[in-house]
Amino acid sequence: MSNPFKKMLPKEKVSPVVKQKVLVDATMIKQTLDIANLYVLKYPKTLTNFFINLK
Amino acid sequence: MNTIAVKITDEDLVFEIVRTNSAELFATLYDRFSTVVYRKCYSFSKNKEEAEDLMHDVFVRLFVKLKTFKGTSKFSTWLYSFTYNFCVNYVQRNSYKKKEKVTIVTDCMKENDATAEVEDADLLELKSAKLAKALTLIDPSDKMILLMKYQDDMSIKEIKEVLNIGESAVKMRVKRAKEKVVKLYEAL
Repeated sequence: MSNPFKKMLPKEKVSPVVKQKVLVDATMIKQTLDIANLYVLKYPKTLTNFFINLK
Repeated sequence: MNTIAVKITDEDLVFEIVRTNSAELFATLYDRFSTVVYRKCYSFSKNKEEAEDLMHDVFVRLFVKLKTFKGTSKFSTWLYSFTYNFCVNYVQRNSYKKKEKVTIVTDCMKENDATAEVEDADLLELKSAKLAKALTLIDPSDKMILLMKYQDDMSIKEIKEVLNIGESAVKMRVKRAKEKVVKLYEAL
């Protein structure tokens, strides 16, 4: 007996353009997180350490 | 790095992506699971373009949410759950009218709760085009459980893991979803 649920599956493959878009967005998210990490965590920490050591 | 990524397990690959936040490693994960995710997205969309957009959103969200994977279950199981929940939310968010229709149907079902159980053989005899139409009319969570059982051939145990509910609850939901879809199919 053929399964009607299986017949509903798409026959064509997913377009390679989607992969490109996903990877561009993933890279952008990564860069945003890195920049946020730099300015919110690392930079203030460096400045704090610098001025504490200066005293 | 990518040659190593090809050989490691899905779970190790995910942990490596979380550690490095690497888009290249994420591309490997995409290659492994794009077909599975696309099929699921297609089941919840009206056409190829909508399915591809939905799939894109799933993967972008996945990149952000990967760190919530703790490795307590297989990654494929976790991804199934993630994709299904994403698709169900997408459908529910975009179809208030459908939701109203489902409410009416659900009410009708409650009135006739004593109907005979739908056998698997009867369900598998249905015509796929008409069945696809009937599936768009039922609640997305009911559709999800039917697709898991009959399209993905998942066992009750696997569905239980994905949905994080009890075995008897899974059986009951499958039974109710079958009844709803057959009733709608006959009404079409």
